[in-house]
Amino acid sequence: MNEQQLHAKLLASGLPGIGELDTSARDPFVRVDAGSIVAVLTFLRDDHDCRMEMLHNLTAVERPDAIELVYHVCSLARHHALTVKLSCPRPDGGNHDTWIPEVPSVAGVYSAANWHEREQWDLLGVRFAGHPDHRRILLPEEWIGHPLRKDYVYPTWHDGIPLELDAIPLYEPGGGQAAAEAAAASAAGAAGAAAKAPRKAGEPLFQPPAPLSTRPLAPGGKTTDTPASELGSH
Amino acid sequence: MFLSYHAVLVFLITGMAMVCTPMILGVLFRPRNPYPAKTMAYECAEDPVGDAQIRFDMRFYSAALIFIIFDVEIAFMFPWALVFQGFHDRWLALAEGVAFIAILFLGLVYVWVKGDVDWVKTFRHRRRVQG
Amino acid sequence: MGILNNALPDIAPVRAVDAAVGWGRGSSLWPMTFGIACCAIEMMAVYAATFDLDRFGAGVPRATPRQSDLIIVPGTVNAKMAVRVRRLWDQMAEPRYVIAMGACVCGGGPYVKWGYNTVKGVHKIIPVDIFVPGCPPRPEALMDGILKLRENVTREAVFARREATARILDARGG
Repeated sequence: MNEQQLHAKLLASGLPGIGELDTSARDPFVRVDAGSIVAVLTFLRDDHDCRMEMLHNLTAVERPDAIELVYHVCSLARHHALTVKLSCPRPDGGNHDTWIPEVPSVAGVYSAANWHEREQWDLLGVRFAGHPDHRRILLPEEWIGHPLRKDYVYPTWHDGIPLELDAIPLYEPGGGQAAAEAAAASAAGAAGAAAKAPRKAGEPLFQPPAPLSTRPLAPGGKTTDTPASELGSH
Repeated sequence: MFLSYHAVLVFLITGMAMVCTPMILGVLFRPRNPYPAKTMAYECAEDPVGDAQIRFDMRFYSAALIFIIFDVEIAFMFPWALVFQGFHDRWLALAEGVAFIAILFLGLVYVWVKGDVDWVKTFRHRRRVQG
Repeated sequence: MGILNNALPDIAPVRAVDAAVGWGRGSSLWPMTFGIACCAIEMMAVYAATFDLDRFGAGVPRATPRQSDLIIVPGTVNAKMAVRVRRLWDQMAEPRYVIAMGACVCGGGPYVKWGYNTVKGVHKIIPVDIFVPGCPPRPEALMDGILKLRENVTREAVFARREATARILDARGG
């Protein structure tokens, strides 16, 4: 059955909230309302002619006016596939900090949806009502924010680990006492020092760099006020 | 009185010196820099959870026991061979050695039949043990 | 710190002992089996038959940091992993050395601009002795890095207190 026939079957099933078949894309897709997504996918899975037993992708797309959830279902028995899309319109002023769209979870219909929905919660901040295990899957549990949103602000540190690209050069070109001191104190200096001035065996090889807020910056380097968390304090 | 054992004394002193010298040299030479992050229990770099002392399976003990018995038996074969080398009655010496091995061999047969040399007891042995 | 480390004067007999100890340490750099991402494949290739690392004495990878004196960090270090990398380095016994293998580990690699989760270079969390760039570096490149580290380790002053070291140590306060 091609997509037109599948769409006709869906319309004939009498389920509410089924939209038009959009053939503009390479994979023709059907727009469905959020309230009937579970019923539509259950119908597609259980109907004898459709037999879409496999959800092989569940993803989301952030657009300026909405977040779209995309469900790719396919049938291994009948050799056909269909794409179902669900659109969550963005409210006025809805951005990364204020807007978390919520849709029903299809983890009960397809067990593959379990982890895919966790991924969408983790990276795009889409809530799934009724999901059995609603937590982050890729990022650390205590991560704040949903990184794949277009207005996400990249953090500079996490759990004491610096995440930003340093604006501070690792060595000062030219010689001098300050350069020697800085070279001895920084990581690259440890590599050079091992070859030229051997370190005292047993002494910690590395004096951890000072927190970002107190280090001297290179000209043009950006500053961040990071809460200081000392690395390797021993 | 014990002068004929002078070789043993030299051996004893040398052995103890060979053990103690690397230990003392190590204390002098090795770096020592303990700090809490270094001395915490290693659990693949995660925070350690649970007890460090766990209950062991009994099979380790029985396997080790069987090994020790036969290892000591082999160890006894060497002095037996040396001591009875020029013995006046060769057949008596051989019979004594064979008897020693035979007694322990009966023990091996028992352990084998009971299934204790298998790590996982098969159904055949399990039925016999339980029946 | 051992009693005699960096405590003896820089005279020829002490240097000879240092050379012997350095030769021993350099010829038996035992790395830790620690692979994070794609560079680990090339690291495994170095251990394996074609580029055999065992002929340099470094082919005995230990599973635990307690028994290893070299940690090769291959592969992107995420925030989640960085905590563990730091802890593993902490749990190694001195003398310990670090080789940063791969572009991600040397300075962020392909994730340097848009990686929200990656540490741009493992030198931000642990001190690195040798940087081996590449994406991934060829096994010969990693072997070159290990041999350079071996040179450094061989020339390290274990008992001698050399002038340059003394100046740095005095500046740090001993």
